[in-house]
Amino acid sequence: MSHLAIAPVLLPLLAGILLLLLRHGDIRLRRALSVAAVVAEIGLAVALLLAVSGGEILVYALGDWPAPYGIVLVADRLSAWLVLTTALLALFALLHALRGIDVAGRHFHVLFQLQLFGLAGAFLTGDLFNLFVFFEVLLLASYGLMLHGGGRARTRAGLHYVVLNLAGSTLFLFAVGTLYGVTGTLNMADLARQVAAVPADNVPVVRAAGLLLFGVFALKAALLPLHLWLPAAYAQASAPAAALFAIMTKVGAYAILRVSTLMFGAGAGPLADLLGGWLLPLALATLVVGMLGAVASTRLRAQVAYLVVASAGSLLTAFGLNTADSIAAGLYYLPHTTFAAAALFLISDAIAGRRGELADRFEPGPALPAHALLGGLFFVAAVAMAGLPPLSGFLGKFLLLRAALDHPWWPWVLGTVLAGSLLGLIALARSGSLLFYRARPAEGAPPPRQAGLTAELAPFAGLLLLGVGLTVAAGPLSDYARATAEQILQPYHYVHAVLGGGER
Amino acid sequence: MEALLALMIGVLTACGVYLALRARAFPVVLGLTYLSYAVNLFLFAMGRLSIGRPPVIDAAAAGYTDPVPQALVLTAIVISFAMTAFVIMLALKARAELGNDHVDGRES
Amino acid sequence: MTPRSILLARAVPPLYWLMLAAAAWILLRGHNEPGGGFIGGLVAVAASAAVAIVLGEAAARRRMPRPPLELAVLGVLLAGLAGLPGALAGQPYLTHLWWGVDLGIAELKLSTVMLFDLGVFCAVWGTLTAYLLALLPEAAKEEGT
Repeated sequence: MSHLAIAPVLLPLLAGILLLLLRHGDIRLRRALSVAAVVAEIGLAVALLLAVSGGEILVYALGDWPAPYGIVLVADRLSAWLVLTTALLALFALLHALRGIDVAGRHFHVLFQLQLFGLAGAFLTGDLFNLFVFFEVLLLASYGLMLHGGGRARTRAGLHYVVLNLAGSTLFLFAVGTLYGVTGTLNMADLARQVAAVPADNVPVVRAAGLLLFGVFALKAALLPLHLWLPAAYAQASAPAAALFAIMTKVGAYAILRVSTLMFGAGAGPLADLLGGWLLPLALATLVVGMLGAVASTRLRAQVAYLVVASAGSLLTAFGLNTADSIAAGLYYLPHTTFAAAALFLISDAIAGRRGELADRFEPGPALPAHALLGGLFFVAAVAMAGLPPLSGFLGKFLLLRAALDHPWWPWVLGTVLAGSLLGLIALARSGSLLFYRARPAEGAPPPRQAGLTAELAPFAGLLLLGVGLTVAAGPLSDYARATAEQILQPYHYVHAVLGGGER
Repeated sequence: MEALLALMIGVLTACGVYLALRARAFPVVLGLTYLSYAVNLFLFAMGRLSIGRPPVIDAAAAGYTDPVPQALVLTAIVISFAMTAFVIMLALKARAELGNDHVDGRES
Repeated sequence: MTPRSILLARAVPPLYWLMLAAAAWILLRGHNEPGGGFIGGLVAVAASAAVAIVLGEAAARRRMPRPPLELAVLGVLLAGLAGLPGALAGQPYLTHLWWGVDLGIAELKLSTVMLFDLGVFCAVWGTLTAYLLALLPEAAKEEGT
């Protein structure tokens, strides 16, 4: 009995509980435990990825209750890819937090581990209601992380974020309830079968439930017009929390991809391609709106938050094209854009901490200490985020554009993605030049936090190196992404692995 | 019974949506609570309504009621309770820090 | 603090133990009949709430076996660990094991499910009491103003 499929879910949970028991203990001990747990999580994620890279699908029946009666965890290529991305991102966000942000409020490490627990669970579960539960776990942890550090602006943004997500959770339950009422199952593989065989009377009901589900995931993925919560929330959260949140919109994108390919894919009969008409135009509009927001921002953090919206747009464009090539391009682009956005959140914290009162607002201020190093690194991160060569963002976008050529809407897709990239470039160039070139001579007291720049930038550099790694290993990784896309476009394998071969 | 329950869910949802769109934190929290009540009833009804039937296997039973929605409702109640508890604490914190209970933190 | 009824103040301490006994009974009854850790935990919270409202938070806190938050954490830990014996025995996590102990008159059934339920009981009791004790001072402030 291999426990590999559940290990990445259990490890952060146990680490979180231990950290809560040790909450009055030595901070060094808690930090060491937290980092060790995340490193072990990376190891488990790598092992999981290797175990499924040949196309196997690991199914883990919790409590030995067979599917579809019990809850199963299912690890396929897609799940393993996202769990590994999450674990790598978490390590660098955590390393940044160790420089003092983790003691600015209570329970940072506990919430961080519980957030990882929710993320890993959401990626690995094979049950729709269980997906809801893990969404709630990761949201509850994210509420705590979002408010970490306190302050008025943070509280206000946090209240909006929480209320909006509560409304989203209610809609999720309505959708799940409707699907259960019609099909009598919540297991995603079984749902795939039942949806394909749903009687004609019930087709409109399932369609409504599917679109409601899509609406909820679109809220998490920050798809237009449900993206409005994101910039305020991400711009106000503390830097490591915002960096970890870079994966949160990807949970929504993952759920959209999983549900649309598994339950409403080509084999779903009258409900096939349920999202086809909606996803692509909305994703393109999200891309444009995100980039326009980035151009119009007056603060660096808000700008990065809008770039996250735009990257969600690019990602969902890839998923919306719905071919093996485009989904592969999207999956290759996903870790890249996550790491790049997180890196920008971390460096904007380093920049804001050196500008005193001005913080990260786009106003000319005194020259930054070590501005050559900071500016150079900002430049690299901006290149990564905007998707310019030679970094992996360019490869991702290139693969996406090449995949789009086969689609009837290709002029729109190409035009929008290229125009979006241009807008992103303009936005980042403007902020870079305002922050680094237009300096006026320093007056009064020198800005605080001079020391420890190299150490502070180490996690940031680590994230950039991951981006470089994505570029260097582009061959095998894009092969893996391609194999993943082919696997999820053949939901038969997933259904077969979970339910066995017997038709009913 | 079905009509009554459907009406009930509809009324709760309508009240919940109305209250959730108010500008004060307290009615918003109350509205979200109403919405969660509505969704709990809805989930329960999705297992079909039946009276006096056992959910677990019983030799003497003429028929069964579906146990899954009961488990779902229990989970949903726990989660919505936790969320409501959190949002109440947050609303209290917001009122203390911002000086009023407007959802945007300003008196209009 | 507002004056409380003397009858209530005298009645609550014995009532507390009675309610806890009822909670324990519901917890054990959950084996094969309606009941279980969650509902038992809620009854225990009601007991703590009664004490907290009538005799004050300190009294309620004193009567808990551990501080509320710690109780909750231990409960979650217990529930999480209850799944491990099954996993160590070569079955999936959360597979529960059962043992029958012959007592001569009747057979007592022991299982890891009981540990799980006990964990849920502690988690519910601890979490909700912690929440209640955190909110009560706020309510007292409201009354004062």
